[in-house]
Amino acid sequence: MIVILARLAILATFLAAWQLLSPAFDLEFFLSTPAQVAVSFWAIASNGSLFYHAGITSFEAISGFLLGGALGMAVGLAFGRYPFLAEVMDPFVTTFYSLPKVALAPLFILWFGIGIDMKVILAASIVFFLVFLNTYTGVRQVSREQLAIMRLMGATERQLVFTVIVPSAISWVFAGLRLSVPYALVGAIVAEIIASNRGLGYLLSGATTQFDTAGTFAAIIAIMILAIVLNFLVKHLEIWLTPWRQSAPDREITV
Amino acid sequence: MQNIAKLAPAAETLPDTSVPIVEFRNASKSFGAMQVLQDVDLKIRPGEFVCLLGPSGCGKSTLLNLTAGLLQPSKGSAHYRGEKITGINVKTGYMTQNDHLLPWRTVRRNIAVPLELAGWSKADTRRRTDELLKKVGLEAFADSYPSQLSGGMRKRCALARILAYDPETLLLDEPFGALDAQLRLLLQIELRNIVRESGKSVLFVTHDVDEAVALADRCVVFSARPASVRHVINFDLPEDRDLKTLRYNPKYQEECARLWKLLTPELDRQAALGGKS
Ligand SMILES: Nc1ncnc2c1ncn2[C@@H]1O[C@H](COP(=O)(O)OP(=O)(O)O)[C@@H](O)[C@H]1O
Ligand SMILES: [Mg+2]
Repeated sequence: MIVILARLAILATFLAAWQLLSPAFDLEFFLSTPAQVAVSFWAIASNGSLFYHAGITSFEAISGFLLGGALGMAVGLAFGRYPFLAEVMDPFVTTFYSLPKVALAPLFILWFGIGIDMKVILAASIVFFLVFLNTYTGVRQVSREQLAIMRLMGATERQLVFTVIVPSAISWVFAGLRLSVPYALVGAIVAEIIASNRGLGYLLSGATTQFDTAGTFAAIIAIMILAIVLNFLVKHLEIWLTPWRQSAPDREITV
Repeated sequence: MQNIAKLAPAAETLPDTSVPIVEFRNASKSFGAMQVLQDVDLKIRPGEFVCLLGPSGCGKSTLLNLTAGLLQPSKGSAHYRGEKITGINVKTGYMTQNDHLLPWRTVRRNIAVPLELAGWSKADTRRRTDELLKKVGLEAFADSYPSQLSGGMRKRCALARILAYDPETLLLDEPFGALDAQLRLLLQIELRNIVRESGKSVLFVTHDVDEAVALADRCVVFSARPASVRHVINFDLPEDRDLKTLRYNPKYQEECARLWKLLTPELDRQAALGGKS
């Protein structure tokens, strides 16, 4: 309770300072004021454009997230199971991993146009590596002893993959997925800022080019809300899909 | 092998007792330059409960791995029912100090793993896991996850899982090592009962002299690395011994003392070599 009150106090102080100091120092043009931002936000929310653009951006981020996530898991699993493949591919993977994926955006525009495809693919290419690396680590983490014991129970290689390897890599996969949420948004929004006529990134860059500071802040707030919602969804998906991990914190810590 | 004449009576109740269930013929094993086993010669009869004792790091686990077919001897050979072990030996079930339960499965579904692998129907699996849950006293925890269980309950769950696929031979590597005395006794009683009922053969690694005497029909003492068979001891204790009162039995105390005496020179030597556990 006290924590919540403290947080509200900090927020209120911040907004009050912003509201008072911005006009006092003649910075309204650059900083706007919370009241103006609220008006601006309300304007795009009430005419429906906020939801339209947020819908586009969510679609791009979620599609990129799913596409990159699925490919990342598949390749991570394959590399984890076939160390030879992993060893051969290692330098290529490292090279591509080091490349900031947004540098590929112009190329993607060239290949896929400025439509939604290009945003999805840019987001997917960022998410791919995060999920791939986590899945790979997860697969490599499975204890060899555990696998030996399952083989003695008569497990075939296929059964090993589905009863032990995939489930035990899941928590790593989720770590990768959770990490990817903000990056999927980065991909979608950067792509929209570079070239687009819809989405929150477009709304953001549109407001900025018109020197509409309040509108810019409103778009940023919309992006923040979207990020929080997506994080929330992945977290609950994880809780729902990995119930055994939630049972651990029930126990008191013992050593 | 001087004691081989004193056969354990359990062997007579089983088919084809003439062929050892596990046999090592001059088996040696090296990992790189380090020799772990040297010329191990050992025969285990079907239905026998054998404890393996020796300084830590001497190669007891390696011997179990050879039996399971997870490792191959560098020299000599390992046989199962007279046949050379060349790959995974699915006639054996392995249990280590680490229980290797699958954390994402409930107790019931952990026990069901081997049944699922063997393609049992849902109904049969359900029936069999019910039986096993009852046998190890985990009915109330059927739907708990391993992370919610105590160490002893996890051990029982692992025991039930091994029994579910009913391997002919159990390879138990210090399975009760980390448990408190009471729980350990309880599980020892359960294990001995289960093994006697089902006529399974058991290779049981332990570093606990009392445990070895209490459980085993026969005990093999290994030398420090590279391990070879130092002593083979037949215990002169009744087949239907009561583990709860056994420690007051003078015969038991005598056997423990005898085993201790055999082990002490090894321990001294290990200390002199700066061996660590
Ligand atoms: N797979 C392996 N590769 C290399 N060295 C091993 C391997 N397994 C065991 N060792 C070594 O062999 C020795 C004997 O090990 P182990 O059989 O586990 O001993 P024990 O079970 O008697 O304590 C140890 O020094 C250990 O480090
Ligand atoms: Mg060992």
